[in-house]
Amino acid sequence: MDHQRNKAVLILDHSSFFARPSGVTFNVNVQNSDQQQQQQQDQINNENTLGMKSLWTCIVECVLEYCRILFDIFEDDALITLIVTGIDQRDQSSCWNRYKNLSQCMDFFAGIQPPNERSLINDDDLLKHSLNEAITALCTRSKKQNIPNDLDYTNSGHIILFSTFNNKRIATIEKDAQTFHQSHNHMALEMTDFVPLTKCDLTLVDVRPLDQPIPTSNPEFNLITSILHRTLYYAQAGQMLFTRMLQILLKQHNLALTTVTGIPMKEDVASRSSLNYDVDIVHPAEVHHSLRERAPLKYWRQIKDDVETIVLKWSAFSYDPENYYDTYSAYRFSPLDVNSRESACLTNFLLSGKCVLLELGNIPNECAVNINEYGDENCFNTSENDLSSLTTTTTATNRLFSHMIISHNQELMIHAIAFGSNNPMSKIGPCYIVNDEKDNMSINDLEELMDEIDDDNLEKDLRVESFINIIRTTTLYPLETMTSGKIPIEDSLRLLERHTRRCPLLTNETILFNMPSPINLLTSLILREKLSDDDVSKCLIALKYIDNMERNGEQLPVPNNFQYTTKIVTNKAKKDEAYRFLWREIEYFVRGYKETSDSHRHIYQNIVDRRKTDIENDSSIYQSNKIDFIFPTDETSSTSTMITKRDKNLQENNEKMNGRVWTEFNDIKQVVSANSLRDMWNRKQQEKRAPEFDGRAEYPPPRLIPLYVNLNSKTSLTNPIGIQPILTTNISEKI
Amino acid sequence: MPTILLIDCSLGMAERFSFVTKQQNNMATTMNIEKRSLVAKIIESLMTNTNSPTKLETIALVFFAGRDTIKIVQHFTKNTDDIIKSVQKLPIFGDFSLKSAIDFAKKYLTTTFGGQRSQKILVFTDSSHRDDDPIKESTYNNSNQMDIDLRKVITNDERDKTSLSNSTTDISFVCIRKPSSSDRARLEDITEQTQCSFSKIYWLLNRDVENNTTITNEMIQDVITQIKSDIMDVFISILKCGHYESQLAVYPKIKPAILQTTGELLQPSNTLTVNGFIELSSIRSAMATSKHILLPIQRYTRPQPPMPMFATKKSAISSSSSSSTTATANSSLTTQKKSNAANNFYYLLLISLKKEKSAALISVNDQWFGAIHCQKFERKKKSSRLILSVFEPGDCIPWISSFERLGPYALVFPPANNSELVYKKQQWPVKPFARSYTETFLIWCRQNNFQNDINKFVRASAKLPDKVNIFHRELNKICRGAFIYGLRDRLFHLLRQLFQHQIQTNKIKPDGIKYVQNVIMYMNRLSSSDRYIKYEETSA
Repeated sequence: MDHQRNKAVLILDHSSFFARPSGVTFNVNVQNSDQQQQQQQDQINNENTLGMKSLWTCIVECVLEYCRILFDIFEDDALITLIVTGIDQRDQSSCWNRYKNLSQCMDFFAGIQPPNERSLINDDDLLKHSLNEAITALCTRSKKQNIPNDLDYTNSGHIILFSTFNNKRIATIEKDAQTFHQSHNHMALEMTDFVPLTKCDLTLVDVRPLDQPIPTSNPEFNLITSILHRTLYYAQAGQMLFTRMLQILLKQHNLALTTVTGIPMKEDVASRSSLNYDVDIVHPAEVHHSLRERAPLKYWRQIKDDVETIVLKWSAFSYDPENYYDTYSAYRFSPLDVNSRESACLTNFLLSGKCVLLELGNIPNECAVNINEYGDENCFNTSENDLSSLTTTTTATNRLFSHMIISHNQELMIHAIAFGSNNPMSKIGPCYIVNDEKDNMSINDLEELMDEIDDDNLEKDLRVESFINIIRTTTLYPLETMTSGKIPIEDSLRLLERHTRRCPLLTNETILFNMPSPINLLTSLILREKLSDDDVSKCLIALKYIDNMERNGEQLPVPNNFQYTTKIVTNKAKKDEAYRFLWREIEYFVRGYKETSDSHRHIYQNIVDRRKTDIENDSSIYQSNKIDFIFPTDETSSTSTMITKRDKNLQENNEKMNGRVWTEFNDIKQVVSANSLRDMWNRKQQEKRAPEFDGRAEYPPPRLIPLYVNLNSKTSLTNPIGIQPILTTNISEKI
Repeated sequence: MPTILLIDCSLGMAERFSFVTKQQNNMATTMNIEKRSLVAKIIESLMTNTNSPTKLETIALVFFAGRDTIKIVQHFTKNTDDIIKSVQKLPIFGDFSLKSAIDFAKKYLTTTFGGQRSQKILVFTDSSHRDDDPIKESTYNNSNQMDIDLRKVITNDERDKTSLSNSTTDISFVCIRKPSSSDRARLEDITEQTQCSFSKIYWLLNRDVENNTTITNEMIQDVITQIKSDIMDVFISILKCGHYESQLAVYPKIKPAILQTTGELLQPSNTLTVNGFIELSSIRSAMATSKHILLPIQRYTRPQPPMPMFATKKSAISSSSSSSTTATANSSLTTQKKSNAANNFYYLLLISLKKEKSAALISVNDQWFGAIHCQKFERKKKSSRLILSVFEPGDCIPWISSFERLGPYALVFPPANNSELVYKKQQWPVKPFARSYTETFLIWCRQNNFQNDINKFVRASAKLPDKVNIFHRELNKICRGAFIYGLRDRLFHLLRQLFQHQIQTNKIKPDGIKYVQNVIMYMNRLSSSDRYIKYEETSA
């Protein structure tokens, strides 16, 4: 997407020749539903309602269609300049910004008078001038080229010239183009405003009225220089001109056609037309690459009006955009006949948010492997597990979804799907098992571990509802205006950090988060960055409320399998412990946020003043939030500021233990070894240990403190005090 | 990731080698075995060592010799015993045609798995003594070095650029002898012809020592560890969301990728950080360069007798602490499963994403993003996995203009006057660009387009004086079109005639006639005007 696209300049000859009638007619007669009446009317009215288009009209129609497709597919990247001979273009420097969309192109044509029927003398000069203008435009920097760099040498462009030609004229144009091109490239070497033109296709379209035959329907090629190529097309106005234009467009911009076939459409019963429709769409040719993987494109190719198209079947398999399909490329597309009813129906369907899978006709036999043919049946050791995959292989070949069409924010896109419904991932077990190398697992153990975990079972234990709230708070939306210096996605990271700071994962570990109103206000209000006075008083009321509950001996919403530490099984003891735990939880929760603002600190102070709980160390009271292994601070990730300061002691101890930096762990064993049970146990022991002596703490791990530092450095003779040697001798004597 | 073991069964594989096995008492026994049994030995030990209990790899076995002598000996299976069994009886055929074999293997892969992104072919062959299509040796001087990973990445990338879908299959070769530079070039050439990406060559014997034709068990082991480290495609990573963390296995490994804007090579970070969430209906199957399954890690420790944990070489170097005996693991399997706290967040994310129909946007590295979503598997409806889609580095998804400019709901749509945040799905902004299929443009390229526009206009005239606005809108459209396409004289003339005819034949209601007459006058004026002037009620 990033590289420079080809520029295209379209030159329309505005000479008197194009004022001639083209032979293509148009009719302003109203088509009535009443058939018979219309036929009668036709006979009467035809003379009055039929009009003839001029050649000019036919060319403008084609050029606008060319522009339309390019703008639909490439948007702002469609680099188009329109030149009409004899019409002055005032501002050359901005030619690539001038036509930014189709309606600007239309405005351009609306301001131009149809060609005059009387010929001017200098028509050829005007054409020459336009050609010069075109090459100047191609050498002018586009928006993406505004800074000179290496890309300057990939500047390529197309000139399409609609006119009428004879051999002499062609020779003149070729010669002129070559001269202009060379002089411009010379200029480009000296001026930074210009980029040299490294590849240029000059396409001449000889447009004739319907009654004049064309010499050949094939294009004629000529290499003028290695850089400049000339192609000549002959076309009669009307359908043929349109086909040529489409051929040129597809070739120049590497586009391709796909026919979506079998689109079901609701139709009123009276209508004669069939219920299924075809819609042709234009898109970059890369869309078809994925098909080549399977088989040559010829198997699905059809020729429609001299243009190749790949036929894909509409499939009613799923219209659900909430599936995540396995796609690996996406390109914009545009319907070929955009205003037809069929196309409008398709686009409206897609724009409403649905998506459609496109199906490939059957794969030809020679492009697939028939397993039974190549396999020797005696050699198959097919265990039961694999039988299922065998059967799916045979059925999978029946339906192949190759593409998906969908709209993204009102843009139509076609995606290539990694096709084949036999997804190897679907047979992967529910977890990854780590074991020691020498330790061979028995199959029974393995199967127990590989048991599928039922989603519903999981849900019961986890605090899904609260996490869903976090998800909603941090669901991302594009921001159009950005406050300077702030990266919006980092706000999201900050929010996630704040919301998960003191939030338990399991339901059975918390009482606080199960509390009814008004206490639940506490857990939501504290999370805010700023608290109003009203909020603070709400929090304080919540605390008072719990106080009252405790005094009245009300039951707390204790989760079902709450782990009591008390050995006494009486209800009173349990209730007491529950309240004790609740206060601990509140203290722990609010302490996490007390640095946010003064109001937060105020609330925290209020809790401390209640003296319901001892202020504990900073380790989490939610056991399941603690992870068995220690994580490194990842320097590369932008979130290094977010790394928790949790369990400082723990981290320190870990450093002491192995002192290794967590750089890389491609090998799973490394991870395991750092987190073996023994390590965990060691860490626990370290935690319990008394704080380090200051003297020892000064030394780096492994904290060996050398005794008698001065023993070797100072000899006894120079020792002014002389105690040390005496001391040692004393000791040795005693021994 | 599906892997095909492609085994050469040509005549050359009958060549004999002396194979030395060392017994425990340091007694060496020398056997004279054929190359094919050597291959069988390699595969056997490869299979026993990669016996991954997670059933990640699915492997098929294909023998090949001549152009048409190709046989699937073992269909894709996760049972390594089957592979070992089938490999014991390697036949010998005549010919040798590697290219057709690789073509076949590719076809086999696509038939079975479709156009999956990551597939592997491992060719067991001995490329010596083959000079069927010699290539100039001088051009390949650098082949004495082992492959450098960097190079591989670059070639992959180039191929990606030329045609996106060509490098889905990785080919590695396992040779008995180190291939000569011309052989090597030939292998690379074949790989290129079959449009696969060349990964690596492993060999047992160095070519330089021509006389020494003994192979020891250690040599096999060395090769095996090499292959294993490449083929073991699991990447252990940490999933992080604020203070929640979970350790998980990413499979297959995330490959380094190149940031297109700067050309910088990005390595995937060990930490996948959740940056926020996007609804599935908003992310809309964003295209990914690769898909990965995320699995929670279940530590298996033998429940019965407490065994000393042996330190492996690597762990001994990296951490001295794990070198001695381990604590007893006496918990039963089931309790262990439940108490595995490290997985809690994994499951929480899984269930929540499933319920919310949302995806988590994660950063793989700076400027490199991916999305995690929950996928149900058809076979087991109740059980789901997390799937990671890794995007191309940078902002390469056209409908998400910039990842960094995505903001959280709470800040993008802040709740009014300090009330509670209520989530309501919002539309993503539409890029203001006039597209021909969302807005009506006058495309008169085809006869029926023009006809439709005229029909609409004339029909509107019959309804006058009702719906005057529609009539005027259509009028303005047609008149503008007449100017754009240079049709004004003829078209206005015809339309005037038409309307006069309509009035005469009483097709227009009496109350509407005055509007039509106004319009006829307007068209009269327009046909002599240079510019298109919009018709307005007041101008009439």
